[in-house]
Amino acid sequence: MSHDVERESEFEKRTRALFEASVESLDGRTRSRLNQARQAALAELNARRTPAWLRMGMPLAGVTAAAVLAVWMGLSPGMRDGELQETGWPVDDLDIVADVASFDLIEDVEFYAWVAAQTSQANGNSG
Amino acid sequence: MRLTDTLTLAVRWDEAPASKEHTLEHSLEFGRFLAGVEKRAFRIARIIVRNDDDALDIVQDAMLQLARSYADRPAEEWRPLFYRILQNRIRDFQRRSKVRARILSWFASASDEEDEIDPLQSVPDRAALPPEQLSTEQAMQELERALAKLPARQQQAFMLRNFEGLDVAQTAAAMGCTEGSVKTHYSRAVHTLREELAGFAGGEQ
Repeated sequence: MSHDVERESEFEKRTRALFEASVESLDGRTRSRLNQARQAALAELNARRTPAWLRMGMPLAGVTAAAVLAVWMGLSPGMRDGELQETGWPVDDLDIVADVASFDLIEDVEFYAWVAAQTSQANGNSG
Repeated sequence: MRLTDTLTLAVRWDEAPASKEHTLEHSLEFGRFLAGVEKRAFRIARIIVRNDDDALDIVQDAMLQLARSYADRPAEEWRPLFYRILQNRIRDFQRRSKVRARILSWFASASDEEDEIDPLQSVPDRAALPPEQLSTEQAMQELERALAKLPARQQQAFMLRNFEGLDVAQTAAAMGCTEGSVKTHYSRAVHTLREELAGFAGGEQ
């Protein structure tokens, strides 16, 4: 506390102590509602940090990204060379990735570019 | 590439950028700040607006406004900014209440001009009680009653300096005035309160 305590009068100390006591004696309902208000503010902060275009276009971008990923996987050398039959086409995997609700996986376009790079590198090493 | 590989990469991606960690830490710090001021802010708002629900709404509005507009500012600026927003919200509430009261009184005056009630007059006068008979709660009520009689700027200066512990510069930032004004308002508030509450808190000079 940055207040100049040393120069405070007894009166000022007493009024502050009363205030502190009244803060500590707040009832549970009020504390709970303050907690809810804080959570709402934090949700606002997190929402604000997500770019507007991403929030608005997240479902569309997710589907588009999943489609691009699917096409890319279909055209990858491993798949064309029969890996499809050996390993089985990951239809279930693709369903999950393409699920619009799975935003945690599909919200970053940059991520998919990175995945593509990693996979290309892995394919290059194995082939 | 199977989904498990994709998930592994996703986890690595999520853990990689330092900026994400910084953002998370910043959010946590912001949450800690709000948790540290919310109860005090509520009490300050409650003293002025005299209603729990209105005070809670005001504090929530102030929190949201801080999150929307100033959360990215340095943490040391949050407190004066928050209290400035809070004071503005309280002032807006008081303006709306005055307009509402004026409209209601206009309708009421058509039937009976004698019906106006001053809420302060309905508060029992305990100032005459010896200090030792005043419980902490009663003493706080006395203090609130005396605070309510102060001009708005003196109220603000006293609560921000004395209750919230802001220094002169932070109080000036929160009130949007000069440090000299803060000192003047605070000094006058202490003087008036001490006279109003003589014998209530030691009564020393």
